[in-house]
This record gives sequence, structure tokens and C-alpha cells, in this order.
Amino acid sequence: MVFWATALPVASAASLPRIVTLTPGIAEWTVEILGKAQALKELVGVSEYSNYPPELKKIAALSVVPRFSIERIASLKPTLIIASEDANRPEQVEKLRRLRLHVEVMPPEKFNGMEAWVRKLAGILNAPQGGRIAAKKWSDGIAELKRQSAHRVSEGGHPSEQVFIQVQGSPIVTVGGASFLSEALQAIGDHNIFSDLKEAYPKVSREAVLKRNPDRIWILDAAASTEEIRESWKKFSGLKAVAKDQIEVLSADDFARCSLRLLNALKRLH
Amino acid sequence: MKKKYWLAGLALLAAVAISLFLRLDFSNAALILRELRLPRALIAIGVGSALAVSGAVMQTVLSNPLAEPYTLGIASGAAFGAAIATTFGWKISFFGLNAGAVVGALAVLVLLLKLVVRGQGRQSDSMILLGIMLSLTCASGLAIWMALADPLGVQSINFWLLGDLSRVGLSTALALLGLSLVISGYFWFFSRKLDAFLFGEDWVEGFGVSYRQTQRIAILLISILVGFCVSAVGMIGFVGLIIPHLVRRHLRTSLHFHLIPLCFLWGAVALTLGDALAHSVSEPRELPVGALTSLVGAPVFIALFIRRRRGEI
Repeated sequence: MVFWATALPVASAASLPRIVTLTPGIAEWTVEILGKAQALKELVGVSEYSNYPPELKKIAALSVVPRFSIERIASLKPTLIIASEDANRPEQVEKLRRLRLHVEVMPPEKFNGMEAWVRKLAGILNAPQGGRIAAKKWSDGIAELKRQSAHRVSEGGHPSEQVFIQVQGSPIVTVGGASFLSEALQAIGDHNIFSDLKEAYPKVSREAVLKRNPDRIWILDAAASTEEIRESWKKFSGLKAVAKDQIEVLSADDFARCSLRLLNALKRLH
Repeated sequence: MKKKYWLAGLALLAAVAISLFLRLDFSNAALILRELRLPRALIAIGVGSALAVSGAVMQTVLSNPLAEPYTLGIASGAAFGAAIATTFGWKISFFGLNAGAVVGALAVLVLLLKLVVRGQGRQSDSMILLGIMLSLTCASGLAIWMALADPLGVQSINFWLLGDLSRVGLSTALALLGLSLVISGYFWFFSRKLDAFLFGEDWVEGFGVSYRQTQRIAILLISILVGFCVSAVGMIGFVGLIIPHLVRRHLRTSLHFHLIPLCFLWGAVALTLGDALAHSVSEPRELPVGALTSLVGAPVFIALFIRRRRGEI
């Protein structure tokens, strides 16, 4: 017995992959796919704001906005760097590759295509089994949300509400049609009032919000002075959201990433 | 002359009407007018008039037709001053306007004058070149400040720097308009002193006007006015350059008794119309009004620069 235990190939710290993730969403899914214990062994660097699970805060945090430090990443001696097509600059990714570092670039996260996205990440991480489980959790979560939404309609609730999501106070930044949050709202039977705008995070005027008169206003708490933003809407008593007292401050951590936490947060909202 | 005032007054009324009613959603009109469009129209009048009058007075007391808060780096100095004051939590404010901006504007203007006195004199283009250098220095300081700032706040800072009239409330708009009226009124009241500068530096004292004292007071008042304007709405370029030149052409005189009030009115017209365009042309988005004024102002600046080189102005 002792013989077999010692003869089994035990992965030493030196042979473990050294992974760097360049968006909080990728870090979160990496943990989901590899499992927390394994991921914490393999991750040597994560981008700033990677805070879920909380243990990620102990890993070297890399500032990536507006650009990341290539030297800092190289100093971590990573064997795999996972970047994002829409969140990281292509010229910086190219520089990493010129340093002969292994860089994989993930496509933008799409709410309706997350299973494929998760399986692709799992492939990069060489953990197909973990990927299948994580993708299943996602599709089950979506199915649950849709059931909940259908139940709400059958119970006589509003079939669809117009929602305005505010990401930043001044200028007012919202989510447009290219954001996964627009698709997420559709999944729960609601509608983003700025889904017709092509950008992911467009700037809009306050007057445009008044014109589109949303039923609900969601303020993501990443915005500075969230309470100030909430108060700034309250004086517009003609707004349906104000009249119905439907201005909510939501955790940006839950809503800024297309992760399982988003599904849970959406379930709680309805 | 009365006709010119009537024309400017009517143009201002028309500009305000456009700003208030262009593409207005009439189902929610009272609310939008009271809370959004009226403060915007008032701040546009306040800032437009302040910048145009500041430009006219600067061109006179510095004897340089290309002088204005933007080209001489005063606006950049004000923005940098406001940024530093915000970072270090120096909360000296006047109706929500940041006094750090006034200190920044004043510092740049005083430094510029010191450098020019040691250099080739006020008449030369060295003042503009030094102004541009100071502006670049302040812009670099701002860039460093932004690099160190919270990334989520950078977009907000960027939008403010490009000129944004949407964030100002009614009390701030009224305060700035009042300040613009008082300081412009002061310049108008002492317009004869300013007229003495038209005869050149050597002749000013001959009219019984103290060159240094008049210039210093003018610089201090302009710094206060421009500093508060920048703190409220960011950097809005070239209004202070174009309007005084257009008004002088229109008036066919540079005498300040008429130049100051007409610059006040036409500056207000220009920015009110510019802002109406900024908030309605690309709805539901909003354009930064400072970018629009610079788009129009930069070619005019080049044209004036060429004419000045040829000795035409």
C-alpha cells in the first residue's frame, strides 16, 4: 500500500501550470471549471477586481485598465495566459506572444452562448470534465430563470418590464445591445430600454432616459456615489420607476460578469 | 448701435428657445424643462458670456489678438488645479464650483506673464507658444493624474475635460451666471481704462491709467471667472477667441463700452446654440460641447494666426 502511494505520479509545484487570467470573469470561470483548490494552486496572477471566490484576492493582482504591465506578467513566469478579445488590447496580447508566452484569447461573453464559451475555456485549461459540469450548471440556471419568468406571467404579473441599467453616474453610462446584460434581461422576460444601441456600454443623456421612461432603474454599485445617483433620479417624479419606487442598487460584482453569480442575482430579483 | 444690441438680444432669445424646445419630448415637457434644459441654458449663457468677455479683455490687457483662456493654457491650468484640489480633498467651493480651478488658472497666467516679461515681449507670438507649452504641461499633469485615478472614474473625468454642461444644477448655473454678470459689469464700468490699452503699453500711463494695476486686476478677475467655468463644465475652447473678433468686426470698433456687452450676448448665443446641438444631434447620446467648439474654433485660430503673421490684424 505504501509502495503504491509513493509510486503514484504526484504533481509537484514545479510541474503545475502557472496560469494568469486577464479579466475577472475568466478568473471566476477558471475556478468553477478547475475547482477552487486546484485553481488556487495553478493561478499565479489575476486581473484587478478578480474577487470571487474571495481567496483570489491573495493572488498577485494585475492592473489591466487601461493597459496591463507586460513586464509584471512576464515576471510571474506564466505557462498560460488567458486574455479576452473585448477587454484586453490586441497589441498588448501580441507583445506577450512575442515574448514566447503562451497566450489564449477568449471571445466576448454572450449570455446566450455561454455553454460554448465555458467549454472553450475548459479546453484551454485542459479540463473538459470540469467544463461540462460548469456548462451544465449554466444551462440549468437559465432553464430555471425561464421557468420563473413564465410562472410570473401566468401568475398575472407584468409580462415584460422596461429596465434601465446605470453603470456610471456622470456621464451616464448604460448597457447597450452588445452587452450580455441585455440578453440576460430578455431571458427573464424584461427589456433593456437601450438595447437598440449597438455598443456594449454607451453613454446616454438623462433626457433620453426620461423619454424612454423605464419601469425599473438598476444602478450598479461600481459607480462612484451610488446613493447620489439614486437621489438624482428621485426628483423626476414623472418617471414610472420613481412613481413605483423601483430604483434598486445592485452589486456590480454580480452583474458585471457573465457568471453563475449573475444567474443567482437575477433569480433573487424576480 | 441700438440695432446691434437688439440683434444680439433677439439672437440670444432664439438660441435659448432652440436649446429649450429642440426635440423636446412634450409628454414630459415640464419636468425636462425645469430639471434639465433650463439649468443647461442658464449655464451655457453664464459660461459662454464669461469666456467671450474674458477673451476680449485678455486680448486687450495682454495686447495679443490670439489670447484667450484656452490658447494661453489658463483653462488647462484650471482643470489641473481642480484635479489636484479634488485629489487632496481641498473642498473650498462656491456653489459647488471648485476653487482649486481658480488657483490653477491664476498660477498659469502669472507664470506666463513672468516668462513673457523675461522673453521677447507681449506682442510676439512667444506668448502663444509659451501658453501652448504651459497647456501641454498641465495636460501631462492631468494625464498622470488620470493614470493614477480609479479606472471607473477616468471616463467621467474625460467627459468633463471635453466640456459637459449636463452635470450642473440650477443653483450652480445661477451662481455662475451671476458671477459672469458681475465681472463683465466691472469690465464694462471700467471700459475706458481698457480702451487706454488699445494705444499700446507705452501710452497707457499717459491716460492716467495704471498699467500694472489694471492688468493685475483684470488677470485676477479672469482667473476667477475662467477657473469657476472650467470647474463647472470642463474645457470649452475658442469661444473666447472667436466671439471678440467677430464682435469687433461687427461693431467696426474695439472700444470696450460696446465690445464688452456685445461679447457677453454673442458668447452666450454661441455656447447656447453649441450645447443645443451637442445634446440633440446624436440623441440618445450626448456630444461633448467643448469638442464641437474646438472643431469650429481651431480653423478660425489658424486663419487669425496667418492674418496676424501677414500684419493684417
